[in-house]
Amino acid sequence: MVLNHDSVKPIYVQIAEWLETEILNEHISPGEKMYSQYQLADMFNINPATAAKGLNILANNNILYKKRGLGMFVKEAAKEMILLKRKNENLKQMVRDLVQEANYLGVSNDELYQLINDIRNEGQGE
Amino acid sequence: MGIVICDNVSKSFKKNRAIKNLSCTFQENRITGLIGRNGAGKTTLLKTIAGRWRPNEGVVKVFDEDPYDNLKVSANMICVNDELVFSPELTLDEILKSGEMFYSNWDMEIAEGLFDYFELNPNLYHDQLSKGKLSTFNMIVGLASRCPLTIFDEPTTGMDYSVRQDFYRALLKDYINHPRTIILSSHLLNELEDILEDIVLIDKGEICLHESMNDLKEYAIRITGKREDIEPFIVEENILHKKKLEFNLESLVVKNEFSKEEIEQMKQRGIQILNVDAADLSMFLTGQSKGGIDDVF
Amino acid sequence: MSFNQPSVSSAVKNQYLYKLKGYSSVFVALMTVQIIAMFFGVLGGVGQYGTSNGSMYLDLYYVSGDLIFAFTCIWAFVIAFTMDSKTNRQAMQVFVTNQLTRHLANGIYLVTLSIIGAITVLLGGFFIKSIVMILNGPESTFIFVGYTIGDFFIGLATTSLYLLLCSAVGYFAGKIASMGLVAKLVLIIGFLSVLFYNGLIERISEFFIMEDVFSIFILKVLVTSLVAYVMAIWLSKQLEVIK
Repeated sequence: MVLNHDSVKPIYVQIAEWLETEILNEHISPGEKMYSQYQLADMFNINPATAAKGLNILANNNILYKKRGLGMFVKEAAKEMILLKRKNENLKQMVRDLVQEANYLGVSNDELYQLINDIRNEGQGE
Repeated sequence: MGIVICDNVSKSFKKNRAIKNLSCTFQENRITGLIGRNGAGKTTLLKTIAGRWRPNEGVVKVFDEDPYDNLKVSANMICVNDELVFSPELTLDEILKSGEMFYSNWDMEIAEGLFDYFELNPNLYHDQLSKGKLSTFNMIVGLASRCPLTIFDEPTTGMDYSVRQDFYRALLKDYINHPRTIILSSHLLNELEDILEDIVLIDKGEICLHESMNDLKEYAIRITGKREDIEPFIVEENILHKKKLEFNLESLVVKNEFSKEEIEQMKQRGIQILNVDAADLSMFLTGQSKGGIDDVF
Repeated sequence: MSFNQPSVSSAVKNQYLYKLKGYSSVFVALMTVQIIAMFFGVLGGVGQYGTSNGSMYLDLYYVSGDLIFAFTCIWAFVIAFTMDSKTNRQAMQVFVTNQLTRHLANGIYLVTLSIIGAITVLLGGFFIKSIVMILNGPESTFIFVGYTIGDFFIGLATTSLYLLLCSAVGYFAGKIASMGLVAKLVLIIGFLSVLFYNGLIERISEFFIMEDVFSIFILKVLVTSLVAYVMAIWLSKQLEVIK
């Protein structure tokens, strides 16, 4: 991954999201040791404190846990946690934006549902 | 733990006060960027910390001691700037060997590795180097000495872009392997912001801001929209920069003291909200006025 | 990261070694000065004295290394004068140092230079005598003023001490030179007027040269050098605080 410096997202958030993707893609399995802040700092050419901040986001979301003196490890339920979190936060936010735009354009709920169904079907048809 | 503590320090040269009642603490084992315009007082502050002279007022403590004329501070600190003077009769190679003799943590492997990488000729003399090569060599001395307090004052003067990138990378890698307190002064914040942990902004001899780098990036936001839309949300003192655009539009950089609801409301009114790049922000914070060069014309 | 607690002695030792290695051009200067002195010595026929007594013509040459010695004294003075100049000070400050260790290292370095200078003065003296012998060929008679191994060592010690004295005074003068213009002028004028008004120059020369007891001579030179040296350090401290 290449960090996007122009992004609205802070670097440490980008690090956290990259780590989540690594877990979702099963590059790191539950129970395994997560990259240390120093490894991440080296990989992304960032200050270790920034990397630590990214790791702490995952620890606070119960995706990682600390073992004293050993570092951070991936929780058993990490993948579910990430999926749940993304549903609750990211997806919700996207829907919120969608609804806002729909209101602005005067699109009714039924129309919106229809639109969603159409797009889903499009995906399946391919 | 504070490795360097400045308490109410002033230093003047012939009536010109270079730093004024300045207080700040540099934390142990962090890379701190000292950012300011030319003539802001960066070099004066760093030389005061390095014990080159006594401040006129206030107290400086390095490793809990007065750094002036202090052998312990001298043995554990190196201050690299473009005024470094070495014996004119020593080749670069011999200077490195001298460094090894003086500094107990000296890392000759790094010194030689970097020497080869940057293709320096070990048989040259220090005053034969071009500006960029000189900075590169001084940087190598600074890194290899591996002092618990390492100060780089505008270390990249004359270096070209790729060498600067290599330098930042080398500094970070060496810091990861051997954590130590590093103070890095520069006016090029955007190039080195990623490797910094803390940032100190200095302007006209005073500290304007001392934050963690990550907090600095969230310190302010840029708001663009119609003046009458923006106005109700803005506290005048929080404006850091103001720019008038066409069609009654205004672009403001303001301290980010907004609640989530306020941000939502602004977005709903079609006000555009963007992040402020750290380098721009530091420019606004250390700016002479709230306007810009456009106001002159 | 653990801190390094340096000792004064190791810092002085390192600085001294750094000086020896980093300022080897002082020896080139020494050689140049002495070669010039020898050149004048041989050509100028030091202390020539001619007399004629009817049938016999006597041409007496007094050959010595005095000129080499004089030139070397100037060398010691000049080197010491520039020893603690701003540039040289900055070159020391890059590495582990404080004022005390810097002055101590400078002092030991100057002692070393004095001894090396003295050795070369004596060797130069022998050399110049040999040259004169060769140049004047077999028709001349040479009278050697008593010279034993003991004399050599006394000569060495005396020469070293004189050079040390010159360098200590040079070190002090160098510090005076780095003072502000007004202070400098007042001091120099004051110094010169005292020197000439009371005929001090003669007294000072007598003080050292006319001393017959060797041990007292040593004492006189060492104490004077030390005083000059300590004054230089004191002055240096004052100057650096002001800056």
